[in-house]
Amino acid sequence: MGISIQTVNLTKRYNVGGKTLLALNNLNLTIEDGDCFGFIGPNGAGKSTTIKILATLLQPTWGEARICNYVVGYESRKIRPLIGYVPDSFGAYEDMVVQEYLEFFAAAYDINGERRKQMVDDVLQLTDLAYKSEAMVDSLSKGMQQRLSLARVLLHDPRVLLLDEPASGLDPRARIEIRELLKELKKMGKTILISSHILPELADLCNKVGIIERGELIFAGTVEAAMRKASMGLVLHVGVKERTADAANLLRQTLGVAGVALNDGLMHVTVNSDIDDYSFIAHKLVDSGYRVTLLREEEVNLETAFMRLTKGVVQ
Amino acid sequence: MVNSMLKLVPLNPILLRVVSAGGRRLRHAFTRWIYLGLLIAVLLVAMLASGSGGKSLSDLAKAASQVFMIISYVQLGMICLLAPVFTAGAITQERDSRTYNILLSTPLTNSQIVMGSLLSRLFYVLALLLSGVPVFAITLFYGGVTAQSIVLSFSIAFTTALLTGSLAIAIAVFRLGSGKTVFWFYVFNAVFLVSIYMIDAFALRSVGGITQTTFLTGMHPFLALESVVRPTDYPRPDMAALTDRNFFIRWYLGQPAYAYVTLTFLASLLMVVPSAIVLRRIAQRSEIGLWSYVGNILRRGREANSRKARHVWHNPVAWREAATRAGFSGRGLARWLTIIFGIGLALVLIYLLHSGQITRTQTRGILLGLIIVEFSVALLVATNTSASAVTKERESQTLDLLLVTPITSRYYIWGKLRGLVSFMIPFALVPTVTVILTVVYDLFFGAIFNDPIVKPEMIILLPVYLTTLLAWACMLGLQLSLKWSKTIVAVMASVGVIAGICSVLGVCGSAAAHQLNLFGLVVAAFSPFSAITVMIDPERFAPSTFAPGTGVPPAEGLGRVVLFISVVVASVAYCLLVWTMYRSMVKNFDMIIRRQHS
Repeated sequence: MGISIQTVNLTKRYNVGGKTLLALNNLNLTIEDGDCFGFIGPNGAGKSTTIKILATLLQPTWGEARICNYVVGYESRKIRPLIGYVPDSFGAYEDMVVQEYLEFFAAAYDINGERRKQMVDDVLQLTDLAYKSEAMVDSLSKGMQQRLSLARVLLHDPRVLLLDEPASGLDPRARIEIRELLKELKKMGKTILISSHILPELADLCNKVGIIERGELIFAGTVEAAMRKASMGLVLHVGVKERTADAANLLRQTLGVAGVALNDGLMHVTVNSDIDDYSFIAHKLVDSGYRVTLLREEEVNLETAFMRLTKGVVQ
Repeated sequence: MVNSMLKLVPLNPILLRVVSAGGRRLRHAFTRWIYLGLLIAVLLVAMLASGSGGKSLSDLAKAASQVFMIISYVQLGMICLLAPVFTAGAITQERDSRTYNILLSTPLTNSQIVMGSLLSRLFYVLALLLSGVPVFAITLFYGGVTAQSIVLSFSIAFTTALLTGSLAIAIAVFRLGSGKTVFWFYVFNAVFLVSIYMIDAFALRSVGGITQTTFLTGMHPFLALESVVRPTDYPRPDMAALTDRNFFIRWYLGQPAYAYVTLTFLASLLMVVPSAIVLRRIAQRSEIGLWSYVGNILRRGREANSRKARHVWHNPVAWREAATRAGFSGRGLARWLTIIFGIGLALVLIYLLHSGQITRTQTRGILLGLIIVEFSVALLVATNTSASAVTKERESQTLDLLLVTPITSRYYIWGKLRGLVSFMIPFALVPTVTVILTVVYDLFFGAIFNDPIVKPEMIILLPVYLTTLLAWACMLGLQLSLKWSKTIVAVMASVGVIAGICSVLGVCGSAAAHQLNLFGLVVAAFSPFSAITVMIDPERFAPSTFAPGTGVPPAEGLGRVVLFISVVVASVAYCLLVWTMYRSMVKNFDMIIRRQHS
């Protein structure tokens, strides 16, 4: 499997009011062909800067970014036909209808004549906007504008999609529509780099995620690996019929238990990270005469993984 | 009562915020220094030019009077240029409803909001005006200038700014416009100032033979000022001759400067007072403006936000400039209005000539005025459209979308220029069609060889020359649009640069054409407005070559040949200038865009 996106020690500094702001700090990222990579991080972490560099809009201060093995900055002209970029805000042209908007960008990609018309019709169908082809672009709802943005980037059939917060500010229905559309694109084999704050949706859509904080990549891998990493030191919710406090003291003295906390009549038992089989906890309690009513792993999802892996520090 | 009055103006919280913030801004201070520097420079140059050193008191007084006249014109010119810029923002405040609605929900009264908005927008202009007081005071020391003249000069400038601001506030309150209206606001101001002055100076005085102030003087700031600063060249009518008129007409014609100040002030009040009365009522009524309301009735319920798609050109950037962006914000309407009015007025002119109501000389003078107004509007539209070409895309964040496509900087800038010039060509064609109509008239009525209204070769020269000039204006606007990130700054810088260049070249070209025989024609060809005046009316504007009986003029035929060749060479020179600017812009495009992104 080839590599679609790669960054090596990618660093970006901005000069803001005479002060230097480090937006990206030695970011190393590898995204393979066909991956749907969710880019997660607090506001100001460097997600948009990374995407803008990959979209050839910004030059890195240091390091290198590659798209399909072409180096950003040196081979940008070869990169542009390969990428489709959706910025975090919709760029609306005044006095343009949907059909014109798409034809305008098709012409920018040198798609002309009958092929242009065909491509525009195809993407309008795919994004379910055919019935709005004569509507003014700036009169569309935000959800439709995002669908139009996706239609725009599909005109030239790019290999890599760079999507910066495509679901931001959308209502639930529009979000679901965009997610379904992205799933379709994923099935078509596109490599997708998507940044978003709506983590459950990323978990549903992406096969890999990267967590960035203060310009540094603190995790990159599959969604499951992110959760595993976040759940280091498994937490179990344990309930007993009576004498909960005594049971908690018993478990605290048990080998393999890192800590026990009492909460709402339940024990939150943290086991050591090297332990996979936690059945010894149930055995210990039952052998000591306690009647176990509950034993379950605390659920770890992408949101809790994100919260545990990041410190919530923004620049 | 006193408390209310204090809260209305000096303690108005909106005004206080602007005054306290504006006072701290270094940029505002710089602008005031530049403005004052310009006034002082004009003062010094005028003093030196008038040779005030070692002269009699009477000479000093005469020189001071000249200096006062020049700085008064400069001051009024600056106010006319800056007032629309600073007050037009009021029109779009409606769109920025986040702050507007917050203001409406506070206990501030309607009057406080209206006065606060008006004065906060005028504050900057008034601060400039006041900073010039010491410069004017210098002219008082030499005599020849009365305090009354200075007060009148300032009053004219102040009421002009006040009227401009009040108009913007009324448009905003009555919801007569949106962002598109800002463009029209500039055009209206410019067309009003240029056309009324041209009618008075050319049609009434130069051609019509009137030797005193006219009915237009009391409604135009420059004409009103002229009656103050040049009382001997532009005298007021004798009051004894007006005894048969009623009091108002007598006062209006007899005291045009006072009439201008009073009427402008009253007109401002007429706009501000109703605005203050209905502000909240209109804001509560609906979210749509008056034009939208009328538009909805006309459309009879059809969906307003849709239409058939147009064909997009092979170069989408050029298509966008020519078909959508340039046609937006009323520029398309400006184009059609210019075409219809221009050709309509040309036909009226020919009818008046044919029916014997005006002479050939008068026709030529009016024709020249018409072409100058048309060309001024075209220059303004070209500058405004091109100066916002890149900044608008940057502001609407569509530039990024284009930059990630395979479009190169060369393709992008060429597309912009091509689209803008395509849009501007009809503007150049209107004066050409006007000239063609007069030449065809001469051809049919036998005057083409002895005393044509316009020399027939101008049919070829004028469109070529005007098109290259408009291309140059577009290129200049584009360059500044790339350089500046804000539309308003880019537009003002472009208008300022174009106006400055045209003024300097105009003074040089006009003087050269008057005095330097054939070489003067060569010099005039490089000055846009001088070249147009010489092309249309050579006898009056290049008398050393074309007017019989003034010195020893060379043969008129030779003059026409020299003018023809000079204008062609000047057109080629402007084309080369456009090409050089284009190459430089292509070369620097990536670097400038990257720097702005970083």
